[in-house]
Amino acid sequence: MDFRLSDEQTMLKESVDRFVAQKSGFEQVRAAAAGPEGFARADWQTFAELGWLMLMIPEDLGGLGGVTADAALLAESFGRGLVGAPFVSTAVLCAGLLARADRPRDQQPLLDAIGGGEAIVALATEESSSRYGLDAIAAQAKPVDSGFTLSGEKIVVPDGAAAGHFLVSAKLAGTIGLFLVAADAPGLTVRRYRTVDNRRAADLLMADTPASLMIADALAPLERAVDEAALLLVAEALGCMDAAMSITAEYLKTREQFGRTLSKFQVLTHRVADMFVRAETTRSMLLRGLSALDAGPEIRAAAVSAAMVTAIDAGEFVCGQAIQLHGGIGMAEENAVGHYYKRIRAIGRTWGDRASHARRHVDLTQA
Amino acid sequence: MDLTFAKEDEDFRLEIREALRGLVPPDMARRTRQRVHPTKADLKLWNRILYDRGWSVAHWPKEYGGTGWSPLQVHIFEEELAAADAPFLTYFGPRLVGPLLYTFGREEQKRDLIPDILTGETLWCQGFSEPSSGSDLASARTSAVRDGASYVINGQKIWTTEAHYADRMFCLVRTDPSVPAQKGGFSFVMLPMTDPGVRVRPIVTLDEGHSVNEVFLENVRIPASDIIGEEGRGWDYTKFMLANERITNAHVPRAKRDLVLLKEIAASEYGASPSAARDEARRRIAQLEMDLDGLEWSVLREIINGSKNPAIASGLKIVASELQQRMTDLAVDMIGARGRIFYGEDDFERNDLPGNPGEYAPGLAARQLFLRATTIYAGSNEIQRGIIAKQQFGL
Ligand SMILES: Cc1cc2nc3c(=O)[nH]c(=O)nc-3n(C[C@H](O)[C@H](O)[C@H](O)COP(=O)(O)OP(=O)(O)OC[C@H]3O[C@@H](n4cnc5c(N)ncnc54)[C@H](O)[C@@H]3O)c2cc1C
Repeated sequence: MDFRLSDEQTMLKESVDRFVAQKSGFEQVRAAAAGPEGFARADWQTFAELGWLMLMIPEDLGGLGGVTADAALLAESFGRGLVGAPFVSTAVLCAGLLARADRPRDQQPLLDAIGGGEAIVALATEESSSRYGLDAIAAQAKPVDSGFTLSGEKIVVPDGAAAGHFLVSAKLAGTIGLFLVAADAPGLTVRRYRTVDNRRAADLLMADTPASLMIADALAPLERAVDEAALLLVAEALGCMDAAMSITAEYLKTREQFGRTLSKFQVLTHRVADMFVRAETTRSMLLRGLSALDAGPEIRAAAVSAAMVTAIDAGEFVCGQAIQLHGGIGMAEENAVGHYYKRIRAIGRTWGDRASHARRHVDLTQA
Repeated sequence: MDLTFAKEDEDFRLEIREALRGLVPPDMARRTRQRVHPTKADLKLWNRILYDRGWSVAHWPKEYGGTGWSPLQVHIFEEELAAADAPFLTYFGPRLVGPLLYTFGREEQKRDLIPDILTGETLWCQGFSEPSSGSDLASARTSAVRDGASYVINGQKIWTTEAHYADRMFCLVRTDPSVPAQKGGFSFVMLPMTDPGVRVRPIVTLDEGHSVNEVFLENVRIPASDIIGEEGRGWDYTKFMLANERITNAHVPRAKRDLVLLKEIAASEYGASPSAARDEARRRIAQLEMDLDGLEWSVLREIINGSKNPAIASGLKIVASELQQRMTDLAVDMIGARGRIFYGEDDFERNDLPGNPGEYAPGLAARQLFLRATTIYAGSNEIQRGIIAKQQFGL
């Protein structure tokens, strides 16, 4: 075992840290978040130029063939800078699923467009009563002459507002299939809106919407891909915690009450110490999860759920206490700590929540 | 000791319930369930409706417009109000400045000011906190300087809830900079929010709602008679008000209503047949219910045979604020991925809401976010713990 970054990883980390340092002053972040898509397309182009959008595309499909640990470096830094671009959902989750399509070569044009920053693709799995169960869906696929049509609904599709395409799960003759649907397809209504973390999601209403089949038996690849994406959310949460923690420590050094800085109150400094301990445990669980990604599905799933539960609890504590230790000013929308908290809240209910992950862990690890 | 609810109290509850039936307009009830920040119109209208029945300040002594009910009856009344989804009346007149006025105010102040608190005609706001004086309120710097028959006020207040609704502010000011707050340096004044020297700037909170403000005071001139009670007693009055605030802030009636709503959300989200998710939600609700029972009985002990022990009041503030947070945490958890959706307060009226939510879902996420403030305001929980250690154990 060796936990140090490789030379390439160090370079990748330096480049993303530099981007975040330059691009994500809190004012810039807020301006980007206020735009119609919740992020700046210009930044997305920069991602493409830096190669980040093809990082996770396999080499034989024209990408850089990176590993999830590489993407985690990006995600963590994006968390620190509250970068709202759909990196995880498009460049990791959907790119990964397209690369695992039944006929990956057919997806080359779309993969190229993702890598080049022209295409944004979002995964649509959640439904009114699916509660994160990838197999607990009602949307139906129907074979027609020209391919398939889909009918049903999807809700709260992460990054769904900017997407030009959706990867949509639907029932197909006893299995779960994964389909590609264009955002402007006939019979598709897209309702776009804001989420608490100032990103954009969408609901899809599909009525005989034309779709092309990507993966006929998609449940296992979907679970694998969503687990990988969940780990990147853990990495992002870590970046959020890290930033909220240092902002808070800095604040304790400068804010005075009762004639001394808040840093003189041990209850507050010990709180920051607890925040640090929780964040470090999250980092360990992230690495443990990464190590299990290519193990058998059950080992992988249990490790990812354990990492998510740890990250959700730690994130709630760290970013919640960052608000608390700021006092009133932590409640102001103009203050960054609340935005880290809101991102954590959103992460904790994307492709799973604390309860669903804890239950999955029980199911996988106890008789 | 008598640990039973008397028959009269049970009858009283039924009477009140009957009297409240249909009294809260349905759209107002829905707004109360969904919005964390009440609208001014609702606060005014509901105040008026209660006033017409003689109930707008039920907890006050009869001679000033209260009901003369026993503390337990007032508690029952408030429970029934909450159960009917009545808005919680504005805090500042009925809970804070009103009792201050009838306890310490001069006769003409009682006569001139109390009637409009009863009707809700005058809305008040509380000017305590300043940018550099939050927990350390005694360091507040806003000054009132005597100039002939007036005081001239200069300074800045912050986090002033409902300053944008208010007609008047009761304001903690330094009248004698040469002595510390605790030794007579502070007084309370009241000032009209319409004075040209008063500027109110909204502060949007993390839920994207607007209830708090910055208030800039520049050469606000008030008649010397607008000092509340006696000059130099500002710190005593502050302690009097904060003690009241800690107990009423327990908001047990609203929490009991929220518990009912939690059970409704659980039934709607998880259905009636057992599942692991449903079991877990029910266990979490049971835990909250037990904790709320404990809080309620602590509050009953305090309102019926008050201990006047500040450590007890501080403890209630800690328990209640954390419980309120945990209740909305669970509510948001139960609505699943919809808990990510941002529903703006102006969207609630629409019927094509994102995520096709149940009626209960919009507003929960914003409420959860805003309630992060419960452990900060009315004396942060760290400060309360300090008070307990000091008052109870001399630490
Ligand atoms: C939603 C909201 C509504 C409010 N409404 C009003 C209102 O209507 N009128 C009004 O006057 N004020 C109001 N307040 C202000 C509120 O009372 C203050 O925010 C509170 O007193 C804390 O002060 P502060 O914000 O300056 O934080 P600070 O005092 O700077 O505290 C920052 C952190 O340090 C901790 N801390 C401070 N001192 C100590 C200590 N000695 N030991 C240990 N920890 C300590 C605090 O607990 C907190 O975690 C409101 C606040 C909020 C958030």
